[in-house]
Amino acid sequence: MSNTLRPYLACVRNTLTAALCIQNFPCQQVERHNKPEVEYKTSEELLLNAVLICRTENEKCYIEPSINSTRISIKVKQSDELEEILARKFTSFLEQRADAFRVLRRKPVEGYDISFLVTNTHCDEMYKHKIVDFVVDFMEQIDKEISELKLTVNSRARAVATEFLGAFV
Amino acid sequence: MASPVSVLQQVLGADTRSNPEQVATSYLSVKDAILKTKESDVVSVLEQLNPMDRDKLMKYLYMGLSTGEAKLCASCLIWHEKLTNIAGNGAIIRSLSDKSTPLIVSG
Repeated sequence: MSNTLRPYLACVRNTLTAALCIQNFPCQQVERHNKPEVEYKTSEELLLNAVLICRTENEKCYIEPSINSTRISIKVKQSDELEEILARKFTSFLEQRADAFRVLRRKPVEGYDISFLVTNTHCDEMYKHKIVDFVVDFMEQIDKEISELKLTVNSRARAVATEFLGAFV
Repeated sequence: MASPVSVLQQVLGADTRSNPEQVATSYLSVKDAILKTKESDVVSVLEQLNPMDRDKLMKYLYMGLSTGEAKLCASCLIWHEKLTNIAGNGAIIRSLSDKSTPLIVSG
């Protein structure tokens, strides 16, 4: 299974490099407005083909490009209930602090755990290859973080239980 | 038993713009060819395709990746990496911007 991790991240990295070819495009419906077209989806011609890159049924990455913005949604691998709870807590912790990340979306897209929204202003202010690096590193690290959290939860639970139930022995 | 290269050349050469229903049947043949090719042969197969066929193959790879079947996705990921090395990011951008074929296959 781990032998598909490297091609999966390479595929996401290459697709993101292509999907982040975005430019400024003012709103066509309302004058003097500038909206990320991928969120509003008002005009068909401004949206590109969305791409779903699956490593497995439960681990996938959904990339929706458009003319001035790209939305990247990630579903993290969660093998049991504890990992599901940890993933939910961890992603909501990050989402509450989305301002600090700038490219993070406060709510994930339906069916995914976390979403990023990259607009043309982000690409102007930051290096595009660094944004791609950030997203791919995030995908790599989140699995490790959740396994680490799971280990600490289990060891803490074991310590607490030993202490507590030791009183009854 | 046709070799993967000849199957791919035949299927990818078919004109799908004028015949959209063709895409579903072509996708199945491409999927077969991808699953049957060994990892060591992938690069040689890709080098024998012409650039237009490589662009079309990129689209079929994304269709395969969207299904979520573990074996197919593992092969498609390997093919995708090798195809990007040969054809460059341009193939990806062209498959994203060609709206005539959606890249997500349901089920």
